[in-house]
Amino acid sequence: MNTPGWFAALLQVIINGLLVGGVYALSAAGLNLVFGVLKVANIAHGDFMMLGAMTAYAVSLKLGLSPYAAMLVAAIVLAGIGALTQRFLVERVIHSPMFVSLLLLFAVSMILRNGALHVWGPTYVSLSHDSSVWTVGPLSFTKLRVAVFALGLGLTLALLWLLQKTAFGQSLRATAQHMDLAEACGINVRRVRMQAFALGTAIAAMSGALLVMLFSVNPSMGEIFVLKCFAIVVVGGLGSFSGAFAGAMIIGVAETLTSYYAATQLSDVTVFLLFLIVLVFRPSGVLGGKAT
Amino acid sequence: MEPDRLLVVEGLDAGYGFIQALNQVSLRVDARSITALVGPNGAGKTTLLKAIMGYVAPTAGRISFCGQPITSSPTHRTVGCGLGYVPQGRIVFPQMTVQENLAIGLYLRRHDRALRSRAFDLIYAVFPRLYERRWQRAGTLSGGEQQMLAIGRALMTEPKLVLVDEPSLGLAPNLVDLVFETVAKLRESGTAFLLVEQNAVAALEIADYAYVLDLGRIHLEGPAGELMQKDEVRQVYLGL
Repeated sequence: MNTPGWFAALLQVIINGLLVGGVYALSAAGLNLVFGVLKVANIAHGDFMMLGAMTAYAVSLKLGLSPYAAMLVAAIVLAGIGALTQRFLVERVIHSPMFVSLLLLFAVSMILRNGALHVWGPTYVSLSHDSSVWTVGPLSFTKLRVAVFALGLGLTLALLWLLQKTAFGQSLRATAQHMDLAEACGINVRRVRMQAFALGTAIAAMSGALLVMLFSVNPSMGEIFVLKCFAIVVVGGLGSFSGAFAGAMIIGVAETLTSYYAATQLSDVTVFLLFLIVLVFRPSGVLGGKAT
Repeated sequence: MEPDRLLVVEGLDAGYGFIQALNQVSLRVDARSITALVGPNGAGKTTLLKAIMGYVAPTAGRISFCGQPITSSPTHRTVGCGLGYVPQGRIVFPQMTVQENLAIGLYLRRHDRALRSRAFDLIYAVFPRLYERRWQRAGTLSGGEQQMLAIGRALMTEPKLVLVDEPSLGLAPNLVDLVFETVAKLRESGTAFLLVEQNAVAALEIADYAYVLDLGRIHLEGPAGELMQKDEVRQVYLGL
Protein backbone atom coordinates (compact mmCIF):
# COMPACT_ATOMS: atom_id res chain seq x y z
CA MET A 1 0.00 0.00 0.00
CA ASN A 2 1.34 3.37 -0.97
CA THR A 3 -0.13 6.12 1.19
CA PRO A 4 0.90 9.69 0.37
CA GLY A 5 2.86 11.22 3.23
CA TRP A 6 0.47 14.12 3.79
CA PHE A 7 -2.46 11.77 4.08
CA ALA A 8 -0.76 9.49 6.59
CA ALA A 9 0.15 12.55 8.65
CA LEU A 10 -3.44 13.83 8.57
CA LEU A 11 -4.77 10.42 9.57
CA GLN A 12 -2.25 10.22 12.39
CA VAL A 13 -3.28 13.64 13.72
CA ILE A 14 -6.98 12.73 13.60
CA ILE A 15 -6.31 9.45 15.41
CA ASN A 16 -4.34 11.26 18.10
CA GLY A 17 -7.26 13.65 18.51
CA LEU A 18 -9.76 10.83 18.83
CA LEU A 19 -7.54 9.09 21.39
CA VAL A 20 -7.54 12.20 23.60
CA GLY A 21 -11.29 12.50 22.98
CA GLY A 22 -11.90 9.34 25.01
CA VAL A 23 -10.88 11.09 28.24
CA TYR A 24 -12.79 14.23 27.29
CA ALA A 25 -15.89 12.12 26.71
CA LEU A 26 -15.63 10.62 30.18
CA SER A 27 -15.13 13.99 31.84
CA ALA A 28 -17.98 15.61 29.92
CA ALA A 29 -20.28 12.73 30.87
CA GLY A 30 -19.67 13.56 34.54
CA LEU A 31 -20.48 17.22 33.98
CA ASN A 32 -23.60 16.27 32.02
CA LEU A 33 -24.77 13.91 34.74
CA VAL A 34 -24.60 16.60 37.42
CA PHE A 35 -26.28 19.14 35.17
CA GLY A 36 -29.02 16.70 34.24
CA VAL A 37 -29.91 15.56 37.75
CA LEU A 38 -29.24 18.71 39.80
CA LYS A 39 -29.74 21.39 37.11
CA VAL A 40 -26.49 22.84 38.36
CA ALA A 41 -23.58 23.92 36.12
CA ASN A 42 -20.63 22.54 38.04
CA ILE A 43 -18.00 25.21 37.45
CA ALA A 44 -15.71 23.37 39.89
CA HIS A 45 -15.69 20.27 37.66
CA GLY A 46 -12.19 21.05 36.32
CA ASP A 47 -10.85 21.43 39.85
CA PHE A 48 -12.31 18.08 40.81
CA MET A 49 -10.45 16.72 37.76
CA MET A 50 -7.31 18.41 39.05
CA LEU A 51 -7.79 16.98 42.55
CA GLY A 52 -8.25 13.56 40.98
CA ALA A 53 -5.07 13.99 38.96
CA MET A 54 -3.04 15.23 41.94
CA THR A 55 -4.45 12.56 44.25
CA ALA A 56 -3.62 9.84 41.74
CA TYR A 57 -0.15 11.31 41.31
CA ALA A 58 0.48 11.55 45.05
CA VAL A 59 -0.92 8.10 45.82
CA SER A 60 1.01 6.49 43.00
CA LEU A 61 4.25 8.12 44.11
CA LYS A 62 3.88 7.61 47.87
CA LEU A 63 2.36 4.13 47.89
CA GLY A 64 3.92 2.86 44.70
CA LEU A 65 0.54 2.00 43.19
CA SER A 66 0.14 1.58 39.45
CA PRO A 67 -1.45 4.61 37.75
CA TYR A 68 -4.63 2.59 37.20
CA ALA A 69 -4.96 1.59 40.86
CA ALA A 70 -4.19 5.20 41.78
CA MET A 71 -7.05 6.27 39.52
CA LEU A 72 -9.48 4.12 41.52
CA VAL A 73 -8.21 5.54 44.80
CA ALA A 74 -8.66 9.08 43.42
CA ALA A 75 -12.21 8.20 42.32
CA ILE A 76 -13.17 6.97 45.79
CA VAL A 77 -11.58 9.94 47.58
CA LEU A 78 -13.22 12.44 45.23
CA ALA A 79 -16.60 10.71 45.46
CA GLY A 80 -16.44 11.38 49.19
CA ILE A 81 -15.42 15.01 48.69
CA GLY A 82 -18.18 15.40 46.10
CA ALA A 83 -20.82 13.90 48.41
CA LEU A 84 -19.84 16.31 51.20
CA THR A 85 -19.74 19.31 48.84
CA GLN A 86 -23.23 18.47 47.63
CA ARG A 87 -24.75 17.63 51.00
CA PHE A 88 -23.46 20.66 52.90
CA LEU A 89 -23.16 23.31 50.19
CA VAL A 90 -24.94 22.70 46.89
CA GLU A 91 -28.03 21.10 48.46
CA ARG A 92 -28.66 24.27 50.46
CA VAL A 93 -29.03 26.39 47.34
CA ILE A 94 -30.61 23.74 45.12
CA HIS A 95 -33.95 25.57 44.92
CA SER A 96 -32.36 29.00 44.41
CA PRO A 97 -31.81 30.54 40.98
CA MET A 98 -29.02 28.89 39.00
CA PHE A 99 -26.54 31.77 39.43
CA VAL A 100 -26.46 31.11 43.20
CA SER A 101 -25.17 27.57 42.77
CA LEU A 102 -22.86 28.81 40.01
CA LEU A 103 -21.29 31.37 42.37
CA LEU A 104 -21.14 28.83 45.18
CA LEU A 105 -19.29 26.35 43.00
CA PHE A 106 -17.05 29.15 41.73
CA ALA A 107 -16.01 29.74 45.33
CA VAL A 108 -15.42 25.99 45.78
CA SER A 109 -13.32 26.06 42.61
CA MET A 110 -11.17 28.96 43.87
CA ILE A 111 -10.63 27.27 47.23
CA LEU A 112 -9.68 23.93 45.69
CA ARG A 113 -7.39 25.46 43.06
CA ASN A 114 -5.52 27.82 45.36
CA GLY A 115 -5.44 25.29 48.18
CA ALA A 116 -3.87 22.79 45.79
CA LEU A 117 -1.40 25.44 44.58
CA HIS A 118 -0.39 25.95 48.18
CA VAL A 119 0.03 22.21 48.85
CA TRP A 120 1.64 21.09 45.61
CA GLY A 121 3.03 24.33 44.15
CA PRO A 122 2.71 25.37 40.52
CA THR A 123 5.09 22.75 39.14
CA TYR A 124 3.86 20.40 36.45
CA VAL A 125 3.67 16.70 37.23
CA SER A 126 3.06 13.62 35.12
CA LEU A 127 2.53 10.01 36.06
CA SER A 128 3.70 7.92 33.20
CA HIS A 129 6.32 8.34 30.52
CA ASP A 130 5.86 5.08 28.72
CA SER A 131 6.19 6.00 25.07
CA SER A 132 6.27 2.58 23.43
CA VAL A 133 4.22 2.41 20.25
CA TRP A 134 2.39 -0.02 17.99
CA THR A 135 3.09 0.58 14.33
CA VAL A 136 0.47 -0.16 11.72
CA GLY A 137 1.72 0.73 8.25
CA PRO A 138 2.58 4.43 8.25
CA LEU A 139 0.60 5.01 11.47
CA SER A 140 1.84 4.67 15.00
CA PHE A 141 -0.23 4.32 18.14
CA THR A 142 1.26 5.22 21.50
CA LYS A 143 0.28 2.25 23.67
CA LEU A 144 -0.43 4.48 26.64
CA ARG A 145 -2.78 6.69 24.63
CA VAL A 146 -4.65 3.66 23.38
CA ALA A 147 -4.97 2.30 26.92
CA VAL A 148 -6.18 5.66 28.24
CA PHE A 149 -8.66 5.96 25.38
CA ALA A 150 -9.96 2.44 26.02
CA LEU A 151 -10.40 3.20 29.73
CA GLY A 152 -12.12 6.51 29.05
CA LEU A 153 -14.44 4.89 26.56
CA GLY A 154 -15.05 1.85 28.77
CA LEU A 155 -15.91 3.99 31.80
CA THR A 156 -18.24 6.19 29.71
CA LEU A 157 -20.05 3.09 28.45
CA ALA A 158 -20.18 1.73 32.01
CA LEU A 159 -21.86 4.96 33.09
CA LEU A 160 -24.40 4.66 30.27
CA TRP A 161 -25.10 1.08 31.26
CA LEU A 162 -25.56 2.17 34.87
CA LEU A 163 -27.99 4.88 33.81
CA GLN A 164 -30.02 2.74 31.44
CA LYS A 165 -30.06 -0.68 33.04
CA THR A 166 -30.03 -0.36 36.82
CA ALA A 167 -32.58 0.78 39.39
CA PHE A 168 -30.04 3.37 40.55
CA GLY A 169 -29.80 4.73 37.00
CA GLN A 170 -33.58 4.71 36.81
CA SER A 171 -33.79 6.92 39.90
CA LEU A 172 -31.20 9.31 38.42
CA ARG A 173 -33.03 9.58 35.09
CA ALA A 174 -36.40 10.01 36.74
CA THR A 175 -35.04 12.81 38.95
CA ALA A 176 -33.43 14.45 35.90
CA GLN A 177 -36.67 14.39 33.91
CA HIS A 178 -39.12 15.44 36.59
CA MET A 179 -38.03 15.91 40.18
CA ASP A 180 -41.48 16.18 41.76
CA LEU A 181 -42.80 13.18 39.89
CA ALA A 182 -39.72 11.17 40.89
CA GLU A 183 -40.60 11.91 44.52
CA ALA A 184 -44.18 10.79 43.89
CA CYS A 185 -42.71 7.46 42.75
CA GLY A 186 -41.04 7.08 46.14
CA ILE A 187 -37.56 8.18 45.05
CA ASN A 188 -35.56 10.04 47.69
CA VAL A 189 -34.45 12.90 45.44
CA ARG A 190 -32.19 14.48 48.07
CA ARG A 191 -30.21 11.28 48.23
CA VAL A 192 -30.24 10.92 44.45
CA ARG A 193 -28.80 14.43 44.09
CA MET A 194 -25.97 13.56 46.46
CA GLN A 195 -25.28 10.29 44.66
CA ALA A 196 -25.27 12.03 41.28
CA PHE A 197 -22.86 14.72 42.45
CA ALA A 198 -20.57 12.15 44.07
CA LEU A 199 -20.61 10.08 40.90
CA GLY A 200 -19.94 13.22 38.85
CA THR A 201 -16.88 14.15 40.92
CA ALA A 202 -15.64 10.55 40.89
CA ILE A 203 -15.85 10.62 37.09
CA ALA A 204 -14.02 13.96 37.05
CA ALA A 205 -11.33 12.41 39.26
CA MET A 206 -10.92 9.40 36.97
CA SER A 207 -10.63 11.57 33.88
CA GLY A 208 -8.09 13.76 35.71
CA ALA A 209 -6.12 10.65 36.68
CA LEU A 210 -6.16 9.50 33.06
CA LEU A 211 -5.01 12.93 31.84
CA VAL A 212 -2.03 12.96 34.18
CA MET A 213 -0.89 9.78 32.43
CA LEU A 214 -0.89 11.60 29.08
CA PHE A 215 0.12 15.16 29.87
CA SER A 216 1.92 17.16 32.49
CA VAL A 217 -0.58 18.99 34.66
CA ASN A 218 -0.47 21.38 37.60
CA PRO A 219 -3.04 22.64 40.14
CA SER A 220 -4.27 25.29 37.70
CA MET A 221 -5.35 22.72 35.10
CA GLY A 222 -9.01 22.93 36.14
CA GLU A 223 -9.42 26.39 34.68
CA ILE A 224 -9.03 25.32 31.06
CA PHE A 225 -10.47 21.82 31.42
CA VAL A 226 -13.78 22.91 32.92
CA LEU A 227 -14.28 25.30 30.02
CA LYS A 228 -13.35 22.60 27.55
CA CYS A 229 -15.90 20.27 29.14
CA PHE A 230 -18.57 22.93 28.86
CA ALA A 231 -17.58 23.43 25.21
CA ILE A 232 -17.89 19.68 24.61
CA VAL A 233 -21.25 19.44 26.32
CA VAL A 234 -22.62 22.44 24.42
CA VAL A 235 -21.23 21.25 21.07
CA GLY A 236 -22.85 17.86 21.68
CA GLY A 237 -26.11 19.23 23.06
CA LEU A 238 -26.69 19.86 26.77
CA GLY A 239 -27.96 16.78 28.58
CA SER A 240 -27.27 14.38 25.70
CA PHE A 241 -24.75 11.64 26.49
CA SER A 242 -24.28 10.52 22.89
CA GLY A 243 -23.99 14.18 21.92
CA ALA A 244 -21.30 14.78 24.54
CA PHE A 245 -19.44 11.78 23.21
CA ALA A 246 -19.53 13.20 19.67
CA GLY A 247 -18.60 16.62 21.06
CA ALA A 248 -15.57 15.16 22.83
CA MET A 249 -14.32 13.56 19.63
CA ILE A 250 -14.90 16.75 17.62
CA ILE A 251 -13.08 18.89 20.18
CA GLY A 252 -10.22 16.39 20.53
CA VAL A 253 -9.65 16.27 16.78
CA ALA A 254 -10.06 20.04 16.32
CA GLU A 255 -7.41 20.59 18.97
CA THR A 256 -4.81 18.27 17.51
CA LEU A 257 -5.47 19.47 13.95
CA THR A 258 -4.90 23.07 15.02
CA SER A 259 -1.75 22.23 16.97
CA TYR A 260 -0.30 20.29 14.07
CA TYR A 261 -1.23 22.49 11.13
CA ALA A 262 -1.32 25.95 12.76
CA ALA A 263 0.09 26.50 16.24
CA THR A 264 -0.34 24.87 19.64
CA GLN A 265 -1.34 28.19 21.19
CA LEU A 266 -4.24 28.36 18.75
CA SER A 267 -5.80 25.02 19.72
CA ASP A 268 -7.95 26.58 22.43
CA VAL A 269 -8.94 29.31 20.00
CA THR A 270 -10.32 26.63 17.68
CA VAL A 271 -12.11 24.88 20.54
CA PHE A 272 -13.91 28.01 21.69
CA LEU A 273 -14.59 29.20 18.15
CA LEU A 274 -16.40 25.91 17.61
CA PHE A 275 -18.20 26.44 20.91
CA LEU A 276 -19.32 29.91 19.81
CA ILE A 277 -20.42 28.75 16.37
CA VAL A 278 -22.54 25.94 17.82
CA LEU A 279 -23.95 28.19 20.53
CA VAL A 280 -25.02 30.81 17.99
CA PHE A 281 -26.10 28.70 15.03
CA ARG A 282 -27.11 25.36 16.54
CA PRO A 283 -27.79 25.89 20.24
CA SER A 284 -29.30 22.42 20.64
CA GLY A 285 -25.94 20.86 19.72
CA VAL A 286 -24.73 18.79 16.78
CA LEU A 287 -26.91 15.81 17.66
CA GLY A 288 -30.02 17.87 18.32
CA GLY A 289 -29.83 17.82 22.12
CA LYS A 290 -32.01 15.02 23.40
CA ALA A 291 -32.22 14.98 27.18
CA THR A 292 -31.34 11.90 29.22
CA MET B 1 -59.36 5.65 65.61
CA GLU B 2 -61.91 3.82 63.50
CA PRO B 3 -60.26 1.18 61.38
CA ASP B 4 -61.70 2.30 58.07
CA ARG B 5 -60.36 5.84 58.25
CA LEU B 6 -57.44 5.97 55.87
CA LEU B 7 -56.54 9.63 55.76
CA VAL B 8 -57.29 12.17 58.46
CA VAL B 9 -56.44 15.85 58.07
CA GLU B 10 -57.07 18.08 61.09
CA GLY B 11 -56.89 21.88 61.30
CA LEU B 12 -54.40 22.27 58.48
CA ASP B 13 -52.89 25.67 57.66
CA ALA B 14 -50.51 26.08 54.75
CA GLY B 15 -49.39 28.85 52.47
CA TYR B 16 -46.75 30.39 50.29
CA GLY B 17 -45.02 33.39 51.82
CA PHE B 18 -47.69 35.85 52.95
CA ILE B 19 -50.49 34.09 51.14
CA GLN B 20 -52.39 31.64 53.31
CA ALA B 21 -53.76 29.03 50.93
CA LEU B 22 -55.33 26.70 53.53
CA ASN B 23 -57.11 27.77 56.68
CA GLN B 24 -58.04 25.21 59.34
CA VAL B 25 -58.83 22.49 56.83
CA SER B 26 -60.10 19.19 58.23
CA LEU B 27 -61.00 16.24 56.04
CA ARG B 28 -61.06 12.48 56.11
CA VAL B 29 -61.05 9.72 53.53
CA ASP B 30 -62.37 6.26 54.33
CA ALA B 31 -61.01 3.03 52.96
CA ARG B 32 -62.49 1.91 49.61
CA SER B 33 -64.29 5.20 49.10
CA ILE B 34 -64.22 7.99 46.57
CA THR B 35 -64.06 11.39 48.19
CA ALA B 36 -64.46 14.44 45.99
CA LEU B 37 -62.88 17.79 46.72
CA VAL B 38 -64.53 20.48 44.66
CA GLY B 39 -64.43 24.24 44.61
CA PRO B 40 -63.50 27.17 42.39
CA ASN B 41 -60.10 27.94 40.91
CA GLY B 42 -57.60 29.07 43.52
CA ALA B 43 -59.58 27.58 46.40
CA GLY B 44 -56.51 25.69 47.64
CA LYS B 45 -57.38 22.21 46.37
CA THR B 46 -53.99 21.53 44.80
CA THR B 47 -52.20 22.99 47.83
CA LEU B 48 -54.11 20.61 50.09
CA LEU B 49 -53.00 17.60 48.02
CA LYS B 50 -49.42 18.90 47.99
CA ALA B 51 -49.48 19.36 51.76
CA ILE B 52 -50.73 15.79 52.23
CA MET B 53 -47.98 14.53 49.90
CA GLY B 54 -45.28 16.52 51.69
CA TYR B 55 -44.45 18.92 48.84
CA VAL B 56 -45.75 21.86 50.85
CA ALA B 57 -44.97 22.12 54.57
CA PRO B 58 -48.07 22.95 56.61
CA THR B 59 -47.72 25.73 59.20
CA ALA B 60 -50.28 24.16 61.55
CA GLY B 61 -52.41 21.05 61.85
CA ARG B 62 -51.94 17.32 61.58
CA ILE B 63 -52.13 14.71 58.85
CA SER B 64 -52.25 11.00 59.49
CA PHE B 65 -52.46 8.07 57.12
CA CYS B 66 -53.41 4.56 58.29
CA GLY B 67 -53.04 5.82 61.84
CA GLN B 68 -49.45 6.99 61.25
CA PRO B 69 -48.61 10.70 61.49
CA ILE B 70 -47.28 11.92 58.12
CA THR B 71 -47.34 15.68 58.73
CA SER B 72 -44.27 17.18 57.02
CA SER B 73 -42.79 13.77 56.31
CA PRO B 74 -40.75 13.66 53.07
CA THR B 75 -42.74 12.78 49.96
CA HIS B 76 -40.90 9.55 49.21
CA ARG B 77 -41.70 8.28 52.70
CA THR B 78 -45.37 9.21 52.42
CA VAL B 79 -45.50 7.31 49.14
CA GLY B 80 -43.90 4.35 50.90
CA CYS B 81 -46.83 4.29 53.34
CA GLY B 82 -49.19 3.44 50.46
CA LEU B 83 -50.26 6.83 49.16
CA GLY B 84 -50.36 7.41 45.40
CA TYR B 85 -50.38 10.81 43.70
CA VAL B 86 -51.44 11.88 40.23
CA PRO B 87 -50.37 15.53 39.89
CA GLN B 88 -52.24 18.02 37.78
CA GLY B 89 -51.28 18.38 34.13
CA ARG B 90 -50.71 14.82 32.81
CA ILE B 91 -47.20 14.63 34.25
CA VAL B 92 -45.10 11.75 32.89
CA PHE B 93 -41.38 11.13 32.34
CA PRO B 94 -41.32 12.37 28.74
CA GLN B 95 -38.09 10.70 27.57
CA MET B 96 -39.02 7.29 28.91
CA THR B 97 -41.23 4.74 27.24
CA VAL B 98 -44.69 3.90 28.55
CA GLN B 99 -43.30 0.65 29.96
CA GLU B 100 -40.45 2.48 31.75
CA ASN B 101 -42.85 5.04 33.23
CA LEU B 102 -44.91 2.24 34.72
CA ALA B 103 -41.78 0.44 35.91
CA ILE B 104 -40.69 3.58 37.79
CA GLY B 105 -44.10 3.61 39.44
CA LEU B 106 -42.98 0.29 40.94
CA TYR B 107 -39.70 1.76 42.19
CA LEU B 108 -40.34 1.22 45.90
CA ARG B 109 -41.45 -2.37 45.40
CA ARG B 110 -39.31 -3.22 42.39
CA HIS B 111 -38.10 -6.50 43.92
CA ASP B 112 -41.64 -7.85 44.30
CA ARG B 113 -41.92 -9.95 41.13
CA ALA B 114 -45.46 -11.12 41.79
CA LEU B 115 -46.61 -7.53 42.21
CA ARG B 116 -44.76 -6.50 39.04
CA SER B 117 -46.63 -8.89 36.78
CA ARG B 118 -49.94 -8.32 38.57
CA ALA B 119 -49.61 -4.52 38.32
CA PHE B 120 -48.62 -4.51 34.64
CA ASP B 121 -51.49 -6.90 33.86
CA LEU B 122 -53.97 -4.70 35.70
CA ILE B 123 -52.89 -1.40 34.12
CA TYR B 124 -52.73 -2.82 30.61
CA ALA B 125 -56.15 -4.43 31.09
CA VAL B 126 -57.66 -1.14 32.27
CA PHE B 127 -55.90 0.91 29.58
CA PRO B 128 -55.36 -1.26 26.48
CA ARG B 129 -54.15 1.86 24.65
CA LEU B 130 -51.11 1.96 26.92
CA TYR B 131 -50.32 -1.65 26.04
CA GLU B 132 -50.41 -0.81 22.33
CA ARG B 133 -48.01 2.06 22.93
CA ARG B 134 -45.81 0.46 25.54
CA TRP B 135 -42.55 1.03 23.59
CA GLN B 136 -43.41 4.60 22.67
CA ARG B 137 -41.84 7.58 24.45
CA ALA B 138 -44.32 9.11 26.88
CA GLY B 139 -43.61 12.59 25.53
CA THR B 140 -45.06 11.57 22.15
CA LEU B 141 -48.40 10.31 23.53
CA SER B 142 -51.65 12.23 23.18
CA GLY B 143 -52.94 14.16 26.18
CA GLY B 144 -55.48 11.50 27.06
CA GLU B 145 -52.92 8.71 26.82
CA GLN B 146 -50.55 10.68 29.04
CA GLN B 147 -53.29 11.03 31.64
CA MET B 148 -53.95 7.28 31.51
CA LEU B 149 -50.22 6.73 31.97
CA ALA B 150 -50.07 9.17 34.88
CA ILE B 151 -52.92 7.36 36.62
CA GLY B 152 -51.52 3.93 35.77
CA ARG B 153 -48.09 4.89 37.12
CA ALA B 154 -49.60 5.95 40.45
CA LEU B 155 -51.46 2.62 40.74
CA MET B 156 -48.46 0.33 40.18
CA THR B 157 -47.62 -0.23 43.84
CA GLU B 158 -51.28 -0.95 44.68
CA PRO B 159 -51.63 2.09 46.96
CA LYS B 160 -54.43 2.17 49.51
CA LEU B 161 -55.32 5.73 48.56
CA VAL B 162 -54.64 7.74 45.42
CA LEU B 163 -54.83 11.53 45.34
CA VAL B 164 -55.86 12.62 41.85
CA ASP B 165 -55.57 16.29 40.86
CA GLU B 166 -57.86 17.45 38.03
CA PRO B 167 -57.79 14.25 35.95
CA SER B 168 -60.26 15.59 33.39
CA LEU B 169 -58.52 18.91 32.72
CA GLY B 170 -58.01 19.39 28.99
CA LEU B 171 -59.32 15.95 28.03
CA ALA B 172 -61.86 15.23 25.30
CA PRO B 173 -65.33 14.34 26.71
CA ASN B 174 -65.11 10.63 25.86
CA LEU B 175 -61.77 10.40 27.68
CA VAL B 176 -63.21 12.23 30.68
CA ASP B 177 -65.86 9.51 30.89
CA LEU B 178 -63.19 6.82 30.61
CA VAL B 179 -61.17 8.36 33.43
CA PHE B 180 -64.17 8.54 35.77
CA GLU B 181 -65.31 5.03 34.86
CA THR B 182 -61.82 3.78 35.58
CA VAL B 183 -61.71 5.45 38.99
CA ALA B 184 -65.10 3.95 39.83
CA LYS B 185 -63.96 0.52 38.65
CA LEU B 186 -60.73 0.62 40.64
CA ARG B 187 -62.63 1.58 43.78
CA GLU B 188 -64.54 -1.69 43.38
CA SER B 189 -61.21 -3.52 43.58
CA GLY B 190 -60.38 -1.80 46.88
CA THR B 191 -58.51 1.42 46.13
CA ALA B 192 -59.69 4.66 47.72
CA PHE B 193 -59.53 7.97 45.88
CA LEU B 194 -59.40 11.60 46.86
CA LEU B 195 -60.49 13.34 43.70
CA VAL B 196 -59.91 17.03 43.05
CA GLU B 197 -62.06 18.22 40.19
CA GLN B 198 -63.29 21.39 38.58
CA ASN B 199 -65.73 19.22 36.68
CA ALA B 200 -67.68 18.99 39.93
CA VAL B 201 -70.82 17.29 38.60
CA ALA B 202 -68.88 14.36 37.19
CA ALA B 203 -66.86 14.05 40.40
CA LEU B 204 -69.92 14.16 42.66
CA GLU B 205 -71.66 11.54 40.53
CA ILE B 206 -69.07 8.88 41.35
CA ALA B 207 -68.10 10.10 44.84
CA ASP B 208 -69.39 8.78 48.16
CA TYR B 209 -68.55 11.85 50.14
CA ALA B 210 -67.57 15.36 49.15
CA TYR B 211 -66.00 18.54 50.47
CA VAL B 212 -66.42 22.01 49.03
CA LEU B 213 -63.27 24.07 49.47
CA ASP B 214 -63.48 27.83 48.94
CA LEU B 215 -60.86 30.48 49.75
CA GLY B 216 -58.83 27.94 51.68
CA ARG B 217 -61.63 26.80 54.00
CA ILE B 218 -63.91 23.79 53.96
CA HIS B 219 -67.18 25.48 53.13
CA LEU B 220 -69.50 22.48 53.03
CA GLU B 221 -69.26 18.74 53.35
CA GLY B 222 -71.55 15.77 53.19
CA PRO B 223 -72.50 12.67 51.24
CA ALA B 224 -72.01 13.49 47.56
CA GLY B 225 -75.64 12.78 46.66
CA GLU B 226 -76.93 15.17 49.30
CA LEU B 227 -74.51 17.95 48.33
CA MET B 228 -75.65 17.69 44.73
CA GLN B 229 -79.22 18.41 45.77
CA LYS B 230 -78.40 21.56 47.73
CA ASP B 231 -79.42 24.73 45.91
CA GLU B 232 -76.36 26.63 47.09
CA VAL B 233 -74.01 24.01 45.75
CA ARG B 234 -75.93 23.73 42.49
CA GLN B 235 -75.90 27.46 41.87
CA VAL B 236 -72.50 28.54 43.17
CA TYR B 237 -70.27 25.55 42.52
CA LEU B 238 -71.97 23.45 39.88
CA GLY B 239 -73.40 26.25 37.76
CA LEU B 240 -76.69 24.39 37.34
